[in-house]
Amino acid sequence: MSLPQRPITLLIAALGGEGGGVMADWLMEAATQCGFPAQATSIPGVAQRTGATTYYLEIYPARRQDLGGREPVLSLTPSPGNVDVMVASELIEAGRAMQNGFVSPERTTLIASTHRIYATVEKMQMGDGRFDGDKVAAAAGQLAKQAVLFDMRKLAQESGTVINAVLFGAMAGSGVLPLPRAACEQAIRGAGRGAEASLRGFAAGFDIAAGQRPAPPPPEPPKRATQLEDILELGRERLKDYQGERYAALYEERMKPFLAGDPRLAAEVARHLALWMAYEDIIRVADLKTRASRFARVRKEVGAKSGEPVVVIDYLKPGIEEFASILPAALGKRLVAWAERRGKLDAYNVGMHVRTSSLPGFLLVRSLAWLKPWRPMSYRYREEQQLIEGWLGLVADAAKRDAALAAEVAECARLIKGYGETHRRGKANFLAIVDALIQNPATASPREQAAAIRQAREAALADPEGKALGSALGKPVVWLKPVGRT
Amino acid sequence: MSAKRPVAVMGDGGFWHNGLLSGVASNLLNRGDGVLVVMKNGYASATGTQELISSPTEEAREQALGRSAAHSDRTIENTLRGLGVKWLRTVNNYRVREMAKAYREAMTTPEKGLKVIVAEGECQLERQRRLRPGVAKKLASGERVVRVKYGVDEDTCTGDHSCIRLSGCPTLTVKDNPDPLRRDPVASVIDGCVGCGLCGENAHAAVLCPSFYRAEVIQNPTLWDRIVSRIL
Repeated sequence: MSLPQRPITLLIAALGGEGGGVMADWLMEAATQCGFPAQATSIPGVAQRTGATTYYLEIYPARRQDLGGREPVLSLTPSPGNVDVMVASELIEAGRAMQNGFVSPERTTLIASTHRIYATVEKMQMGDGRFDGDKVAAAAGQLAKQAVLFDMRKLAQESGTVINAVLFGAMAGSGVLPLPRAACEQAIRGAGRGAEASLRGFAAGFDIAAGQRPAPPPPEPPKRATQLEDILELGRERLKDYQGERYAALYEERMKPFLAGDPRLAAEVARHLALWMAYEDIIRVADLKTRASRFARVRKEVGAKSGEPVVVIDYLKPGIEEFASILPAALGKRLVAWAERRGKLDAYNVGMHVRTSSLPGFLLVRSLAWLKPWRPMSYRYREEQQLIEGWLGLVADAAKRDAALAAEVAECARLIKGYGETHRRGKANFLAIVDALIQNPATASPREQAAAIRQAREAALADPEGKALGSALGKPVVWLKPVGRT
Repeated sequence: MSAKRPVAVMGDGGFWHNGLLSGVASNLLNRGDGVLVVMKNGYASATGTQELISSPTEEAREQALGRSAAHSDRTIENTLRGLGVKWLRTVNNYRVREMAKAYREAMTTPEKGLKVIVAEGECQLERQRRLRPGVAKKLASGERVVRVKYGVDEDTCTGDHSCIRLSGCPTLTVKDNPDPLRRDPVASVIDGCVGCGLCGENAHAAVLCPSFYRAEVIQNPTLWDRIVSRIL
């Protein structure tokens, strides 16, 4: 009789704690039940907690009894171009597999979940460092012989199981395994614990891969205001909530000069202006932290059932800057100047674990929010309004020369965010760019200037130490280092 | 001797496997002036939580239940002292501020010789494994249980992610900004959070931002819990 030329090769890329090892065991068990010679190996990563783990299996799809005592030679290492089934438990893992050449158009069926678990390098960026998942999906369409992609994590959650069961189901359902469904299910049953939930997950994955049930729809894209009218409306509302009707009117007043110009520029200015004018001072934070909607959101996020009280403890650590920010302008300015001179800006922070959900804690935080009417007299208010006016002036000046240049100047407002040291650093970066590239540009060409500003802004967001920005500006960016903090 | 003190980090598993002899003993013999940090979480190996000579005893673990039991054993400290380490501090790994202070002291003290910081805090997974059956039993019998989870307020988070630059926790991640005016993603704590509190402690110690909160969900609340929660 004619025997298969080669074994079926399966490469599995999973993350620690997702049960990749268990899935390899199921495959081995099912293959053994069918009487097929099979072999599995694994490269454990930093398991348990999202480290990458790899499993490699070879199944020779002929019954041992038909081999006449001969043994197939099975390999322990996958090689590019020789993988029949590539399984990835996460989208970027699928991307990595393709990058490493394990997915080939002649041979490989790619089975992967489309959800994302962000890597630390993606999460830690100061802006948005997330990879574009659509690129991976597009590459899968081109590189794989067949690609089975859907959100398996969602199905696993719905089935009350782990993603490995859904992946196993998708493998079986896509028809690439030499193993019948019954053998796969028997292997799961034989493993015992949690078998019922695993079988539910398996069935869900199987049905979708076999086209008997539609895949879950992709998540809705986040709501983004892009139209000028929407942004103006949102901005107005936010600033009315922030400081009242007059402050909202000031927002509209400030926007007026931009409304006649380029609508895209106006939209970006309106967006940044609204965010900047609603800067997060201690009054704002206290206000947001003591709203009924906030407690409702926390309840939802921690999954508290009705009738279960939730105690909320906030981690606050106000220091000289926070104190100065609500002082009268002249006094606050002197205090901050004194602290900066002595490097004491972070020296006297008071660490507090405030039980915001209790009456005393709530009143403590809420009382700060009651300072709202005082805000326009405060030091921070004056500082922020000066910066805002300066920025608006720069954008307006640039708009007279070139809309694209003005857009780049406007976008620099993005650099100022966060609290404490983070905020100081952002502000220093902003001012450095204003000084070096906006007020004293090295070029007369608006296009070159816009490109330089963009490059510097991206550099400022590239690393928190300001090394990239320093080299982009050709000089070191000095922001206040935490001197003598204890 | 180097101008700057070198810092070495090893786990307690590594300490007993070869760190003690080829690391510590050799450094003492050669009169090094470095700093050694021993991460004492009580167990060896990433997933197996295999026991070590310095693992907390069964009784200590039972007693500690939801808290760290790592402090109940001092074999590592005693061994280091016996070997001749003069500068030795044991610090709770989750008290970031105290830990930073210990580091600073180790790096700046005029005292010569090997300086060892034992960073103590039981393996969170082991703690979870121990806790889970007990909690399930209590919940089933209607007893009061407090479940802790950390979170980030999405409307005060400005999406700078400095908290993530200080913590590699897999459950501290990012999500789309819910604010239609903002673009950068906000930090978020997802469901796998075991409530160790390191993210909040980091934010606190580094004065990062006021967005972290600790939520204590009281399951099977008592009448008193209900009355207290009604006040607000």
